[in-house]
Amino acid sequence: MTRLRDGDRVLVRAPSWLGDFVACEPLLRALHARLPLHGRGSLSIAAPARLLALLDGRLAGAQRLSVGREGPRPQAWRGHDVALLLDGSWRSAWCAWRASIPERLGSARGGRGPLLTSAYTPARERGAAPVGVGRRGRFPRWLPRPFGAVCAEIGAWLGVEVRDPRPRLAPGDRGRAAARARLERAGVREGEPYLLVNAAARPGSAKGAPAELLEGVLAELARARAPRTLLLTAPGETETARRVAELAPGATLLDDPPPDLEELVALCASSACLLTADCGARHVAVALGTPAVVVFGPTDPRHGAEHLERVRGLRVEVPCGPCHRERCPLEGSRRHACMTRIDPRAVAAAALELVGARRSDG
Amino acid sequence: MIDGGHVALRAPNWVGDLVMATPVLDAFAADARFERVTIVVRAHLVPLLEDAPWRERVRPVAGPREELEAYAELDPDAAVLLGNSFGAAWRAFRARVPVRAGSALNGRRWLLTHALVPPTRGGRRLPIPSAHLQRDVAGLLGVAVPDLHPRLWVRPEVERQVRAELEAAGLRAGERYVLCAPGAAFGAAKLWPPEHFAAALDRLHEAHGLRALIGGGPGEEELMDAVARASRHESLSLAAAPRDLERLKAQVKGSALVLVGDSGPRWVAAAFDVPCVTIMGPNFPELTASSLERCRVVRLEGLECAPCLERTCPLGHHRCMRDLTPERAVAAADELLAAGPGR
Repeated sequence: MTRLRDGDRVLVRAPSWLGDFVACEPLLRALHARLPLHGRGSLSIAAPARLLALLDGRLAGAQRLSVGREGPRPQAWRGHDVALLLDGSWRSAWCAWRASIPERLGSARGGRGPLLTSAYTPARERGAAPVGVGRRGRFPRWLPRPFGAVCAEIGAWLGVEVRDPRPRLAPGDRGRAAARARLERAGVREGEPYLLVNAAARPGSAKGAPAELLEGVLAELARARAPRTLLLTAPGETETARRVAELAPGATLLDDPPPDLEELVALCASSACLLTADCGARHVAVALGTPAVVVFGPTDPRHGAEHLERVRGLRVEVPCGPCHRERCPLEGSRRHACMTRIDPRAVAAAALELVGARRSDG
Repeated sequence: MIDGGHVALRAPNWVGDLVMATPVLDAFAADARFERVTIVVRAHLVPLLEDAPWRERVRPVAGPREELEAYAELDPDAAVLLGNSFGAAWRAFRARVPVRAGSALNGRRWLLTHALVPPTRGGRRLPIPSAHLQRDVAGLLGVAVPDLHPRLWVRPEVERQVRAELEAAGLRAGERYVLCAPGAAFGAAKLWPPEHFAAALDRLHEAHGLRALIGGGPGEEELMDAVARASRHESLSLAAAPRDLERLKAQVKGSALVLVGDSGPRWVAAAFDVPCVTIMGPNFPELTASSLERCRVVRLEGLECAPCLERTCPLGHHRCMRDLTPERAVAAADELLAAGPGR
């Protein structure tokens, strides 16, 4: 692989998924520290605007290139020497090629290889299905690996050391103010501990925790006199949360309107613990140092197996998983078994353990 | 059946790789799914694992024959191979261990029941940190490793004893020191010239008041003395003193800085969060690009022949090491020391 040179104008296409975006933050920081952003050298970060907002006030001098729903535009990418494509989209590779960026580095997945000058084939697994996993992945059996580790490896290939591999986020002023106002409306006093339960899920999504599981968890938490529980939603993902709120009236629903990403970061930063399915919010918690309980459904836990000191993962082994499907295709008792068989008592116990540990940490 | 079964972890044979693997050993030892976990490790490396909470699970083996005997006696349900050698996979296969998990490197794919292929480019392996590879291998048995920070343990009485030994050898009470390990078991290609080490140690003494303590493994006495002789200041060679891996841990833990080639003590320093400058020549920096929080890797960029991964320089000029000036190492040390103590 070509090593970065002083004076290189580097474009990083960061992932569009929240979790992956947060996981690549240490690499963005390392690139920012490595590249002299004066004279000819520059660093540009391309991602959806809502994710770029997480970097507000940081990485001074780095240019932000917003990627809209229609995807990146080659005109905006012209003038760079190196394109580092951390997302997996074919369109990004095409855009970098159309923008005539001489060095284009990224994974060869998704037919992007011919568009890249440095295409790598990700790690794969071979042999029997891994222990604890119900089935093998589909050919070519990409090895599920933590994305932050992959980013650190890419950085090393370019000659950039990721010295601090832990993602770091901090709530911004706007997010903090919005969170404080919302907590006041919800009756949460300044400094009062609260549990944040992420009930946001696309309607019918297999990745989200089902309302019945969350109801069971909330009932257990109420029995144990846990701190106040706030139910988190996201724009367009309020259906499950509303059902949970109906089933567990003790929890406060934050849906008026659902918090945006900056507010989510602030709410998560001041919470005693986040309880969530395997989604972007868990990575936000890791980056903030907030303890998190994660229930894994159809996803392979190896994708997120890093920085787990304050994370408790819960899952059950099912013969059909991990399937990584958006919707469970099964019916009857096997439907969404990867989630419905998780014991709510174990989830609540894990949350209480983490809250207790945080309290004793001070 | 792995759940409720017996897992044998075959630890790597290099000091550095073994220290890197300690988070994985820890994670397996803590995993309640396994009824029994045994750590099979070369006997000469066992002192490195002394005082670990899972020390009683360590099964030392002297060589390949003893390794086979150990498998026959232990009768494990699974062997997890944390190194990449063909021999380790072959012996697990010969011992008919039912589950054999490891990297599909060095032609051993067919010997393994669970394998992973590291990233490639154009069909050739791309270098990734060994610590990442070991974590991925653990994942084949469903074990999540919470973090990759290497960990070692040393008892306070060992620390006190080692400090007393150093003071008996000439270190003054309370004197801060830089531990220098100029050797490398891998081969001559990894050796930085003794006069470069000596020059760097002299400047560290002048700038930071650090006494140079020169240590090393068996057979490295001549090299250690050569560095001491080349030093203008009063350095302390441990060539004649008792040296072993348990003492090394205490020496590293007690030091203000470690100056080392691309070798095992770098990882001991990482385990104790001691600032470390490592001089790298023929190796891929990507293979060891983890635990860099308190470590600076100093190497020469732009050489066409590097990294060659050879044990001795095939071109004879050894420029990757000879052209690397002491100033580079001192600048890296200055940066680390300015950041404050690691602990």
